[in-house]
Amino acid sequence: MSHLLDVEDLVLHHRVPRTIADRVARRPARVVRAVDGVSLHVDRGELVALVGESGSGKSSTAQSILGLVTPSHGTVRIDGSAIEGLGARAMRPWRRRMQMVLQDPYGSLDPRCTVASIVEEPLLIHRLGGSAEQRRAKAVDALERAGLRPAETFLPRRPRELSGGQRQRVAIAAGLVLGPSLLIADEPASMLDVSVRAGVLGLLRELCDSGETGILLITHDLATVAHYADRLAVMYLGRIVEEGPTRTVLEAPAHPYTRALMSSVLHPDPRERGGRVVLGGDVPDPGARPDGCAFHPRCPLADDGCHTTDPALGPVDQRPAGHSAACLRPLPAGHTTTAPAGRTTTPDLAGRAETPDPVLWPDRRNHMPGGTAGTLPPADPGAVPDPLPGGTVMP
Amino acid sequence: MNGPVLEVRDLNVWFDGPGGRDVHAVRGVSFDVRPGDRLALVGESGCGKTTTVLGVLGLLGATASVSGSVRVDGQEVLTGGDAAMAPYRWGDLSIVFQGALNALNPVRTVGSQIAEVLPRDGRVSRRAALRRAGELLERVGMAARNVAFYPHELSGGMRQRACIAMALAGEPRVLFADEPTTALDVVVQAQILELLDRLADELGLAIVLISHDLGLVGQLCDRAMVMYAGRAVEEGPTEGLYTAPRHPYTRLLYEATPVLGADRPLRSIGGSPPALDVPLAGCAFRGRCPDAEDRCSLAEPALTPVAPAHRAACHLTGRTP
Repeated sequence: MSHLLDVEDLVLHHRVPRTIADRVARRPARVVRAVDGVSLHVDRGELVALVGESGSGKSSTAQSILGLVTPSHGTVRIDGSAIEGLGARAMRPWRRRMQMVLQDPYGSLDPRCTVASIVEEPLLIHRLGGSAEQRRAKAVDALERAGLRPAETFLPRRPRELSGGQRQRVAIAAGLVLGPSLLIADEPASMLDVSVRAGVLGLLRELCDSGETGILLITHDLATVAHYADRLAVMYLGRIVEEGPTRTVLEAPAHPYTRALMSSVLHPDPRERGGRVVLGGDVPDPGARPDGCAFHPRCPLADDGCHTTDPALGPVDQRPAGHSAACLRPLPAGHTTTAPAGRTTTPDLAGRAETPDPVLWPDRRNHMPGGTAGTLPPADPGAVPDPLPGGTVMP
Repeated sequence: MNGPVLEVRDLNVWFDGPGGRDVHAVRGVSFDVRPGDRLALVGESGCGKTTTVLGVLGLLGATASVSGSVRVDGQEVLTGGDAAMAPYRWGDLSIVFQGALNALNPVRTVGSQIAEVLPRDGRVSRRAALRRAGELLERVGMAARNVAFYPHELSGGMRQRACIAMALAGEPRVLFADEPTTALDVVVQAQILELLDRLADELGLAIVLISHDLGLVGQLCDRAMVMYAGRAVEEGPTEGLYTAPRHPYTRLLYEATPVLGADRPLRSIGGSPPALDVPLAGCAFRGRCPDAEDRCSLAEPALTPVAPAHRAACHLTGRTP
């Protein structure tokens, strides 16, 4: 049985044009490796989350899969049949089976169009609508599936008459109207009020549960993922560094980056303060990927091996099948880390270090050392590194 | 003990609407800020959080009329017009505006923008002003040489830090932070949280956070005021609000907030906040409230004490148990 979506070794490299100064100095062109060998799959009825910081390559991965940008190489298969060639033209016949929901429902809907014309437009583009009545019926059906009921009352309205949550549902309806088997949702809830986020994400979950649709959800919010995703893949600097069933990964993350992302999730209970591991700095410039493990400059557990050896994604000891990570020094399993900010001590390291180093897994005032020099490559103009926060106090 | 730095009483804000239908955006909000306080204003978009703060600072435009009382160190500043507020604005009271990605002028360096808001007592050379700007950047965890950079050369998190540095220029005692982590990703959010936390501790700064992110509120603030339709519907310690919310709106907001490791379904709140250009009869939340009864449409409930330092405005749960 083939997967609904099967992506193999997807690579997206951007060549940065050389400036005159580069030519004079005979510097070679820089290559930004936005997506650097990503393989993943999504089955029908499955919601897979792709998680990472800004700049980790998760949106580039989605755009490459959809052919919105032309990947350098890699294979994308839908229902077992490989898409011949890559890029927009090759994708056209496949588009009706893969639709995208964008992040910003305030910017992605044309303010001059009615809801009816927004939802019917994909049918016109793909010449699938049949008569005007048939198109209208399909639009009504899509709106109802997106939770806008009764759909007839929404048809003549324009985006400005709708709330943010309703706009995002219109965008989802425009994706659903073609009857796609795969939806790619890029941060579909992050622009919305907390009070309506659960509704939009719950809708995506329902679409999966109905069995026909698979969803690839792109997000930086692990708390959301924990509630809705079947599986998750954590990306860092263009590669997947950990993946597996959501519960398994979040209960015992193997990669320190996953652990740090979990620790960044803020708990609404004030008693759950303390124990945060705050990563310093930003994701490094993908044009100057660090040697060895790309995460080692920000990793509190990195040792000499991590500076030289680039770990491959593979199974991890003491973890169930299907849970893999790309780390030479995976965190030990066997302790619960589900409450991200809830531990004032550092049980994470109890299994691996005789005396947990308080500098590495500190209390809330300390930071991972990543914020110091070396996090950001000096080539990047925005790369003046944050000194260790905790710095100067004005007299 | 220290008295409040800022006392806001019965603040009301109206915006001129078309056809005389004025929008009553803030309805009778009162709060105090003492030195070192960490207060959050919480609620959905359109509930009047930002308008409250802009009204306090006198930053609303000519289309707004503001009434009530705002005292800084016991000195009334609202009725005195802009001249009364001006000495305190960007001095004792400063603000980090929403949307750090757009809050800076793109064609000027970060340093010159910070230098612009430095207090102008006596003549300060450009060099001294930039040095001071560099010190402020260091205080927020950036290298001083970032003064020479333009906003587009900085990441989102660094731009937010620069905005915070700018707000510190007048050595404020109260810092208003309007959605300081929106549009930043989780890792940078946590960094900004740590920064605000540290600044509050080191400088004895009082922080008034405006946010709909209850995670951020819980981690940074000790007290919160939940706003709905321009009014405070519940206020109290953040721990009390989390463990025992007394207003259904507060409870539903917490139920809509994802928590890592919690095995409960997330619920959204149906509907949206009411329009404020028509007078509201009864409780403003009743249309979305799962517990509403007949009496909720008759009278608007007042804020009443429900626990020590904890008040709620609800007919059903506002009663003293």
